[in-house]
Amino acid sequence: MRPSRFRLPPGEAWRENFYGYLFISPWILGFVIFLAGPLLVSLGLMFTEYAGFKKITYVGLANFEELIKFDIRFIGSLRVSAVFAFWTVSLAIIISLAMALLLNQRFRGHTFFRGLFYLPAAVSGVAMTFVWAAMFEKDYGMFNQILRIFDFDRVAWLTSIEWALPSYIIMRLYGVGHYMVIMLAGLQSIPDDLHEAAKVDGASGLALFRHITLPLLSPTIFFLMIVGMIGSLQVFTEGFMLTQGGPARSTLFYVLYLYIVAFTERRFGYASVLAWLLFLIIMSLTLLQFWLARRWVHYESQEA
Amino acid sequence: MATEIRQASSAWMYRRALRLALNYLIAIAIGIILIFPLLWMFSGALKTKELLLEETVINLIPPLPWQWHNFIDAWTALAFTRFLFNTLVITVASLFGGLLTASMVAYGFARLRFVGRNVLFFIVLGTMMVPMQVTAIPTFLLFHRLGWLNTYLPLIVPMWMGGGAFYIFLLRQYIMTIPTELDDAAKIDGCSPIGIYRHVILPNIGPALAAASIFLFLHSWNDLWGPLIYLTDDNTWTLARGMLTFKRTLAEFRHGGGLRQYQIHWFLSLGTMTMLPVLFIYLVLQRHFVSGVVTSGLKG
Repeated sequence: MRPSRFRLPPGEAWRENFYGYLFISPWILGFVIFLAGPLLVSLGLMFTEYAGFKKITYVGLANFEELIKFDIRFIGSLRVSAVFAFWTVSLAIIISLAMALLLNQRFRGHTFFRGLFYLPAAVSGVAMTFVWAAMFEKDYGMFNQILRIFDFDRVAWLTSIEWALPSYIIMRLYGVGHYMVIMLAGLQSIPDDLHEAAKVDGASGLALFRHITLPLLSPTIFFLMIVGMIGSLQVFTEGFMLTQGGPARSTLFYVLYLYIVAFTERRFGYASVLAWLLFLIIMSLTLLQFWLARRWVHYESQEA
Repeated sequence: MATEIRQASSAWMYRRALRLALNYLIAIAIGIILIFPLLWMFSGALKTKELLLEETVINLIPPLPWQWHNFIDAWTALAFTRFLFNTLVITVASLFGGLLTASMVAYGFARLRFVGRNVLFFIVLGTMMVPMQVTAIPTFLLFHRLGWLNTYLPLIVPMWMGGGAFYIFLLRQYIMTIPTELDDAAKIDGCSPIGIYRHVILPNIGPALAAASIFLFLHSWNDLWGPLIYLTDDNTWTLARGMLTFKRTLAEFRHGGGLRQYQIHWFLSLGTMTMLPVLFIYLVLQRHFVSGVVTSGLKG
């Protein structure tokens, strides 16, 4: 049962409807033109072969057949993106949690450090990716300069099959400040009196963290998992700029592959299949997360 | 008895001081790790190419004379002034359109009671799940039909239609915190919803607009996907798009002309220049930045 709503007089209701739709009309236009319309068109394109400008051929289920039976690049790119998303998100959550716990101590200057820790997330982008290319250089990049100090061998960061993907994970983790800020806000929303009460009961620091902080922080962690996973499944800029999928397709991210099929090979039909699959993957991951969350995420209101 | 207490408290204070020192030590260590790549970039931008290609040991202090002309050389190697102009036009136009329409839509969803509001807002949130790659091909075909390829329009016009679910959500959350009494007072004074939006809502959502504008700015400034697809003519390129070709030309050079052709010093100086505006805006608006991330993050 919905709670009974305050009823407006008829003239007033008409007015609210009119102005309501007037104010949201830009969004409705955008939704129809740039979202719902294109979604339907790409749904149709899945059953065609289309290179853009002249003729369009209906091919039935041929695109799906190719996807399942013949496309090695597709399987590879799916694996690359999954490995990348898994490591990026789990490492980012652990590191950002540690950083947030540190800053939550509220020592003098903690806001300065918060700003400093977030800075890399703010400057990431094309310019920074450009600089990463130089830092990962085998002969004179920053990382190998550092390794030399500790007498380690040089690593062929972006040019070797085993190190290329980890290099991208390092790049992503540099922006961990974004996770940290959200994690910190989650920590600060935990009421102090809970900690105080547990301390009075003689709980140790570790027990405090395990039984109070972590459960109360779980909605935040859960949110970061979803958002982080969706974000890292869509990574494109870095991959396109630095390695274009190489060496030996070890960094062929899913969206990078999608871009190549669509705009380099100009196979719009097949690319639409890949795009819709990405949509389905992201949607089901989100739903799965929501379902799993019911088991281990603690929401304050459930206790009441 | 008294000495016992004093001893206990001094032990407690000692432990507290130790813990504080440890906090600072860890925080400073993390700070150094995070800032180090930026320092490496800044210092590298002032070195000669020859030095950079031979350096195997970390050296953050560039030897004199500092190579300030790296910046000019890199900037003039391609039409970067033109690219900067294009980037500014696109960024400012999308920023303005995004702020205007997102705040309008957010006001509608936060305050006006129209039929189907909840369902539509649920759809707004649902659109965040749709990856832009799904709509990319039909949108590309649409802009092609309209003859908009190689103009600024494909990068600006969509931002004038609500700016994206994220911004609508961010601003709606903020508008919900403004007391409705203000609206009612304006209504009694004879304000229509348009008047309320202009005179009550807009003046009161400054911090949220600041947060949204930072994200909108970063989005346009760093966008590579859009320019890559819609802009093939180098007269319309943005900085991000231009830099990409710059890098590619160098890579091709490298295969043909050997390692010596590789302009690493230009990489670093261009990186520095493109990053400076972002850095500046971040330092000025940092407070709004963090609050924006938090509002959008926590309420999700």
